[in-house]
Amino acid sequence: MMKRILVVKLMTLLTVSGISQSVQAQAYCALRDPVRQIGELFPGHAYVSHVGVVTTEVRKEVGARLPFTLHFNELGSHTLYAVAKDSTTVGYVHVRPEITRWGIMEITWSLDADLRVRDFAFQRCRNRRRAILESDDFKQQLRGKSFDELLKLLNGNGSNLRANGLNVDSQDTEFAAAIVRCALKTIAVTGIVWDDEVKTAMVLPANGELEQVADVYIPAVEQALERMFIADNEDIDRKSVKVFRVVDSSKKKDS
Amino acid sequence: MSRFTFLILAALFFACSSLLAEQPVFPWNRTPEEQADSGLLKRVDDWLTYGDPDRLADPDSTASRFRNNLRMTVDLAGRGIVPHKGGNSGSGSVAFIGLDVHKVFSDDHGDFATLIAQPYLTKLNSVKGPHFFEGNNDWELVNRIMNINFTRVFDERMNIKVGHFEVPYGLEQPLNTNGTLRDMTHPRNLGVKADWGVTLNGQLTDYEYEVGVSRGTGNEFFDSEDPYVMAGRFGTKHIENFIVGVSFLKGSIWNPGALGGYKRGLVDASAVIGNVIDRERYGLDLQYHFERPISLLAEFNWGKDFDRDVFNTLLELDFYNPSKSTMWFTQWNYYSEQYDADLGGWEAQIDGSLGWRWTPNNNWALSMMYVQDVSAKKLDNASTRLGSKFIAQLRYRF
Repeated sequence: MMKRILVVKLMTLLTVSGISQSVQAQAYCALRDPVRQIGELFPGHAYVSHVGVVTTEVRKEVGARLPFTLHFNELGSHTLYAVAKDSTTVGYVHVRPEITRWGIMEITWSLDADLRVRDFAFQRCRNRRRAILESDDFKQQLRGKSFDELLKLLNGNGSNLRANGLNVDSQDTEFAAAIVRCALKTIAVTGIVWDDEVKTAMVLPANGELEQVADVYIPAVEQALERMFIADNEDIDRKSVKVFRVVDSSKKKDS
Repeated sequence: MSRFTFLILAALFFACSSLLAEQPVFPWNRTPEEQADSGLLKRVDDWLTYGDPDRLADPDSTASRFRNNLRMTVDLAGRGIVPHKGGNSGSGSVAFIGLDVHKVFSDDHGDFATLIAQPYLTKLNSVKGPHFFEGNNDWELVNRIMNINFTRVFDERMNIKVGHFEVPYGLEQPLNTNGTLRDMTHPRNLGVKADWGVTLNGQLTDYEYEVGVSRGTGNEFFDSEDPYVMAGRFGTKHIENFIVGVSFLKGSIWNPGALGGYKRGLVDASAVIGNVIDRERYGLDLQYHFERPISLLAEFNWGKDFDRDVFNTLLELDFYNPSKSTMWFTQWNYYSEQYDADLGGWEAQIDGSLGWRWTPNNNWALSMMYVQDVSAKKLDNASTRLGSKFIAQLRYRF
């Protein structure tokens, strides 16, 4: 009888004790690094792992930045793979799950040093339309987008795409919205959990914002190209050229 | 029976507390401030997760180097077993207390090795365990997985793993069922689940593989009777929804239980001595993940135990909820071998199981499984009795 009371006490103690935020439900021997996808997303680059803990505090912070937040099984220890070329961090790879009606979808995200989307690949996705959204046509619409730009693609509660947010077939809007939600959470979590690593590798100023320049080939640019004898160069598709202006908000004048 | 009743009551208590109480006992939505600092376990938990902040302040200290990219978790589990055969039933249990460690080693040029260490103290209570347990009430330090995988000798296409690893064969290699009630065919088909040795493993553009040479003794390393295992699996990449793998195993495996089973199929077993069984297996495994969270798994094995032909099969259907916190599965096993003609030729044992696993958060997992023999090998009257087994397991990781 005493033994039974002891067991009950022990189990009660375990139950009400501090719940760790670092563990994974599965044993660690089941962990698989996305090495193939790192190689595909950043060919010829070296990478180094940074294990960080996604806590309930992080979950709360993500919830403050987004109209949705992390699921409980997204908490725990996770790895950010910092990808380097010649000892300079050029981007990151991070795997994040998203719950959909097709089950849990896991996406391997590739971000640049300023946490903009470079590319992605599905690690686990049961949706039969997977190949459509893994195509370059869809990926091109997400590449280069920042957290704020991605957020503008979703409706108020993030459950679906905003009208004209992305060019996808009507039957893929729910699927595409899940991918955008996953990208947003990935960027938010990366920025919060691995703040130190990210800040030291950023290319843009910490408070920098990019503004797209609407008219690229202004007369001054045309004249400069003519001076360099490349004004009629047809190797570059001018319609595809995008130019961004870096605005460092910390250096803006008050007036 | 009383232990089993207690386990069920405890499981119901936790489930009801979680689902019905105003303040659930599983506080996954509470902030750290809301979580009570409840003494020793909380401090152990914090140390496991974050270490000693004073020592970690110096990035060149041993503590910092050890803590960098380290996952370390205490794993506690209790398993209750109620078998029933031929009108007899009894109950037993198994307790597990283990440490689950995962550490990535890196330098200025990137990651170069991954260590996994899983020492588990395992105590049997009226349960028949694997051959390295001395009796039904023994305890043993079980090395589940304990190896280091060198990942930068070449690139992701070829790594070198040294230590105690799951024998690379069949569905177990990509799925990994260590510590769960659900199991694949390794224990009965191969007679060894994890073994000491070396593997080459890697991921190619569309394929992945692991090929190993190991001692053939399982949990412990020794060379009596010179056992060995050579095994390997080549499969399509695990990120797809349809995965195919082919495997092979050739070995002389230390497994007195399997050898005993082999002898029972001989008219005269006097020439078979020792503790090792010569095995050869060729396997085909399939996984198909449907669009809704349902998966179909299959494994087919052909081979020999000494000169006796063997054919073993596993079929499994898994159902998940969208968040994967609940899983239902049904598994069917078919184990057959060709005995001497005097003993009936091909005979098969078939069993089916229904299982359930609930992981309400990253700490807790409750599993139950019912296994029913459907058909037994008819070598003698004793073996034709069909049995059943009910198993429940509560697991807590922190």
